[in-house]
Amino acid sequence: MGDTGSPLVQSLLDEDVEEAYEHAPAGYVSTLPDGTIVKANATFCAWTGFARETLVGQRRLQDLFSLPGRIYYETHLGPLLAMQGSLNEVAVDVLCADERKLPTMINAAQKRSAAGEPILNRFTFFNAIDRRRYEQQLLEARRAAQAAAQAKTELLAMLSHDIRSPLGSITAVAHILETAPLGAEQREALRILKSSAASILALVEEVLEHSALEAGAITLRAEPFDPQALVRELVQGLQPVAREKGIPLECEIDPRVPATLLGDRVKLAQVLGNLVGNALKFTERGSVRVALELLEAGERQARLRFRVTDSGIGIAEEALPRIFAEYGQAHDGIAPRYGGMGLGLAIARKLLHAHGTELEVRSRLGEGSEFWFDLALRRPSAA
Amino acid sequence: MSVLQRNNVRCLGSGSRPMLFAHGFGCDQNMWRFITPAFEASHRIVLFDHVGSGKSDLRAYDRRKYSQLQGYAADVLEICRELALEDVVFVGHSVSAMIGILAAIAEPRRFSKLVLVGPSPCYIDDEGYRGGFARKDLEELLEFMDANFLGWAGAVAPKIMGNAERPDLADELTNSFCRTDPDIARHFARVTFMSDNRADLPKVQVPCLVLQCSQDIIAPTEVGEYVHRHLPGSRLVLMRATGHCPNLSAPEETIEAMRSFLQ
Repeated sequence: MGDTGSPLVQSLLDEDVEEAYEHAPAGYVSTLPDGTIVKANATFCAWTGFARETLVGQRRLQDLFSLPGRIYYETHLGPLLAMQGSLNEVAVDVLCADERKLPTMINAAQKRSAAGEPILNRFTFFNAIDRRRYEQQLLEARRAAQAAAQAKTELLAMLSHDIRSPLGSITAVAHILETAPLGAEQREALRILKSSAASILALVEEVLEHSALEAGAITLRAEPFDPQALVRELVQGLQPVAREKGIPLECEIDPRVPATLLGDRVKLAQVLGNLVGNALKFTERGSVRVALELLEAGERQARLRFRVTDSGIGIAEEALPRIFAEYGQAHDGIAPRYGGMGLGLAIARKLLHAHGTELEVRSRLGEGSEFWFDLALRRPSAA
Repeated sequence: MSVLQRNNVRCLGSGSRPMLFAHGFGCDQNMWRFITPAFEASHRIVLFDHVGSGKSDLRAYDRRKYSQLQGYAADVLEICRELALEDVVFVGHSVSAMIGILAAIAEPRRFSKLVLVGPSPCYIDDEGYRGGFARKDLEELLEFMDANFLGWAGAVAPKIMGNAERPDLADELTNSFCRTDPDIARHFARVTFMSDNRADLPKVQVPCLVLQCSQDIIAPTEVGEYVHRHLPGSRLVLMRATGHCPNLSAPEETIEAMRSFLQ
């Protein structure tokens, strides 16, 4: 701890408040509510090169901003100051007397009367020359990273598109071969050929679907459908997969769920199919349960919860954010063991976002996972 | 997702005549807070945030739809339909004045009167027209908004520096109104300042009030006069209030002008 008692320090501490205000390492400016400058400290005058008498009573603060700064002041900063009484860390370029632009960071507070009428605005200007340069670099790095990610998605979409056509031919030829007289060994080879072609096709379709979603090309239909039937049929359709793995696939449907609501049946089936497919894929023992509940039945709409619970491998807490990322899986061991590209959940989530809802997850490593989403769907009469 | 959630629609007031308030670029529905109390007894007040602004649902932001003011006008009409609003008094600030005009051209019978606060049909100078800005000013504005990128991002996610003992402190220390996503703000700025709706003005069949501030650099007085000249049967009020937001800087004068027009 330094010596605060030394005579030299004491003499400086005794300096009057005005002196501290004038020469603080920050620019201080006070204005009337309309921006007219009524006070400016020596630091501000020195930084900007304006003589005090050319500022006080002569100019409005916003006149010292570059034109875009003035637009920003009028449309955003001014309203903000009027509403919340303060401004925090706003970047503004101040136009100096010699037309030079001084990058600053400003904070502001509004002084109001007892009746709440604004009387004065107090602004503090910090020199932000270095900071602005770092921020600019950060921003450019972010834009570059986004552009690179976008380019990758496009490349992948293009590749997938190009793979799909020859894959179609392979599948077609395999079908033709099926009618030919084949021996048992050849028939097995053909079975492998067909199922491999089918899994590549599924992957390719996922990539294409994902890049279409990425490009914002998504339109939701609002057509009458039966949510109960949707869940029941989906579960029925996946029973063969469940039987093959020896896992019971159960279905629990709240009978109060309205028989007809408006929605996009195909997209919902896709989301739910993805969740149930994942649950089956990652469960070796126990069971998978699909539930449809009615949360709220209004006159115009009904709120439903779709839930898929499994007793599978589960997801570690720290890996949870990763599973929703494109091409992301909970850990590096997933792809070699279970296959897939990690696009399924990203697609499901984007489709749910388009519905204005979120995919929720609760999971414990080794104990299983639960995925659910809530959906407000309109009744046909309310359309 | 419902229209009401999407646009964060809020209804106030005990009157029956609907009054729909639309905020401008850079702000949100909070900017009407000093105006609405004066009309709560006589009107049914409907407030909303444009998609991409305030507490609207950012997931609903569709770049294509909102690349024209028509996209915003479609939302205004959807809100009217959803709430079954008829004979609506539309109050639009800044760019929302033009959004209201587009909505009123599409469905003239839906609206009884339009109050246009600081309207500009075209911000950029053109032959024989002075909007107040050159095209390069707009490019500078977008650059300038970039400079505030980190600030804006902080405004979108203010909870980062939460204080467990004083949960309200984080809110006090960040800009809590007019939050927006920085990329959306850039796009909205471009769409706003590049818009040219001069040809639409003569098509309006609804009575309009033009509220023109003094010393408004966003919408200079000659722009307000242009709007008045080209809007059939409109009323122009030149206000003492300075700047671009009389609803915030001079609420009483604004309320007074609105009242006498609505009588």
